[in-house]
Amino acid sequence: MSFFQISEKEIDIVSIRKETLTSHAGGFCSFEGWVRNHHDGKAVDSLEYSSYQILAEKEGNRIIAEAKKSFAIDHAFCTHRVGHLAIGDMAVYVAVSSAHRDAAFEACRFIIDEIKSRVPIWKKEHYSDGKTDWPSCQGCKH
Amino acid sequence: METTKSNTTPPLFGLLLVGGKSKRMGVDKAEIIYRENTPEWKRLHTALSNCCEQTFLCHRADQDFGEKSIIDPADGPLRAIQSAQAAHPEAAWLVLACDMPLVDSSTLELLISNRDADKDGTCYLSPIDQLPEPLCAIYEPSLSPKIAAGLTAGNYCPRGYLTSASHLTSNNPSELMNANTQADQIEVTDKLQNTQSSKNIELIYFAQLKDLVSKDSESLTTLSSTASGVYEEIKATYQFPYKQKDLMLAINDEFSPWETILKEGDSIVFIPPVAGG
Repeated sequence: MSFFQISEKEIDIVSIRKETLTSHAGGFCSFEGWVRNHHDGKAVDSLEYSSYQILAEKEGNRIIAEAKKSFAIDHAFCTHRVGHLAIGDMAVYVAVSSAHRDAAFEACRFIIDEIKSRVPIWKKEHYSDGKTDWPSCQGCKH
Repeated sequence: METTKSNTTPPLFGLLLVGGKSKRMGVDKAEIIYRENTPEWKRLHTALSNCCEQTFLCHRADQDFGEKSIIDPADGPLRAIQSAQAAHPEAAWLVLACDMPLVDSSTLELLISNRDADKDGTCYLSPIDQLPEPLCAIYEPSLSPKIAAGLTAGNYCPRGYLTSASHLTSNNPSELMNANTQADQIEVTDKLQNTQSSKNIELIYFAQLKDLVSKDSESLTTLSSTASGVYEEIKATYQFPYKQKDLMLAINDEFSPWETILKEGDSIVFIPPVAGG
């Protein structure tokens, strides 16, 4: 079972949420990362995501496993989309279920933070002025 | 009145910089033994002593090598050079870093034979970017006020003071290589011991690096022992903007340390700063 996936298609959040359901869980927490129209004061038209898929999925699954060790959660999943995304598109989705809400909130936060700093995924920003750039995660771990 | 060059040329003193912290290497770079069963500081000190009128070690106040020394204020190499100039304003300084294991007497002799004391200094140009190599270079006394003024203005990079120096090119492109990491140490050792072996590897590119090389992957035949050596080989060709410490490395689809020894058929990915989310 893969708990972290790279997807070229729109993220199916209904199916992912369903995977986290269990009668043991009393809470659910999710995070959605969206493509926004600005970065560092510049107007952004679109984002082009790419990944080193084999290693991204290995590292993403390691992060989910770490979250399960560190927090009292039942299920955790994350899907990151790649390809050319428009403003408002969902780039990443994290879903966590747990017996009590604190663990779900904390694990959700941990997972997205680690994904952003450790997993080989990149975005090329396309600005409204026609230029492009490759921003990087502030505080990458490696 | 006519003066001849011989009585105006300032004496040449040697300055070996050993005050660095060697953070990335993990052990003191001055104490590493590569050649002649001698720690690098001692080997290079001897090489300098053989061609300079006086030779000084420049080290931190808490170090002691039992040799004539100048105290390094531990605020970068330019401050160290300034301290030497202040101690002996009459001298020109042949400044040498202690982390250049491929440098030897012949490197220093070629530099000295090309010395032009009428200029601010004499230095090699890097074969990679054609910029002055500031830590195997001669600094004439005329640079002293310029360096003092530059430091006051916050310009700590020694390279910039040598743009109008006399320039020369090394016969050996890797001669001035810095050994900063364990991977560099492996590359240097294999070069010195002639234990390099040719191997075919695959380079796979992503993101910014893929844009710069305009291809997904390529095969490379290399003598480098580590991916660190390979990166230095190709970095200049493709104008990669990253230093190794900015990148992660994957070998055969797994994160790997830079000092990993490469094998025939390995696939290598230099991972630029990530930006998911």
